[in-house]
Amino acid sequence: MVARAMALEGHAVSILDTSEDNLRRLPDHLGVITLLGDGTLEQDLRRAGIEEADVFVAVEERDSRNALAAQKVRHLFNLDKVICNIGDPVRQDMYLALGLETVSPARAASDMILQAIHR
Amino acid sequence: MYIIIVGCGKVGYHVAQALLSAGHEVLAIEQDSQKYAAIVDALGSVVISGDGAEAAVLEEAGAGRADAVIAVTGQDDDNLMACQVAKLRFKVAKTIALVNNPENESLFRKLGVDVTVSQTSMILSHIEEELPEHPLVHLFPLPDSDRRLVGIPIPRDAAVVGKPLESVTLPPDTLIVLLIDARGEPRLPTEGELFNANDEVVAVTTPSAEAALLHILTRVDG
Repeated sequence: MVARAMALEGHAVSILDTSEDNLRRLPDHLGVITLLGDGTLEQDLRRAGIEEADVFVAVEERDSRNALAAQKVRHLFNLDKVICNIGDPVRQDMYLALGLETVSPARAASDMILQAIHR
Repeated sequence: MYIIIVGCGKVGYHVAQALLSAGHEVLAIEQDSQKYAAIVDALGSVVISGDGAEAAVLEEAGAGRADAVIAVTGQDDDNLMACQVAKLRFKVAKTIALVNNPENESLFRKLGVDVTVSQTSMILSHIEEELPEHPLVHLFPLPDSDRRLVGIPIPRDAAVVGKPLESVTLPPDTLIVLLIDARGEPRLPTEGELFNANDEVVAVTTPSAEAALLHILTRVDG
């Protein structure tokens, strides 16, 4: 979804995923570059063009893999705009303390639900 | 000392056993329920089940009073996270991480892990040591930096043989700390000291300066 929206806004997007099935699900017409690889590995990040990137988004299922990838990008490739998905919102404070910008869909959804209840 | 071990696979199990028999207070955290049951059988109630990269689980394990946290799971991301949570949230004095992929070693140290242990690097350095024709041996990494201690034997016909140390320009961030002659006799790199054939030069250097250092010390003129 993120890749799709960014591509539709006209940004150049590269996707790195360890699953071929996930990559195959993306529609061809978006012009998104897909690469089979591991976002926590230096050489795969390089292959995906991390050195030219303006933004890095880590949205894998495992939170600690997102944190490793994000910290690697920030400290080895000196990229400041690094966004990290968090599955379990209880980890958010911890990730903030590590200097990672985080997005928690679970927290966003629960906030919306609470708002809807109180309306 | 009170020591928490995150991940009780092969490495974690043996570390736990060794620390227990040395008289330390040990608590292991294991996520896999089968492994957890096996450890309870073998070592008794020194293990809890849960994700050791999770602040709540570390809190339950008593990380606040732990002297050290050792993260030895098969996943580098979990090992890093466990050490970072231990350090930042619980102010644990010593964090030690197993590094499965050696490329993560310097990053982990940069991110606050006190000690990194890479099995791959250890095996590689043993191989280097055992292969006599290998020109550069990684002795060990220095803590809190990407510097490392290396050993380089001076070939008999190298251009630097017979020259005083100060006449040879070394690459940046590189320092010769010891010379060991062919009989194993060490000497300090003081002024006026000469490079001799078959000396082993022990130096502190960085990954980027390493190749240049090797070239300078082993180059043959003509």
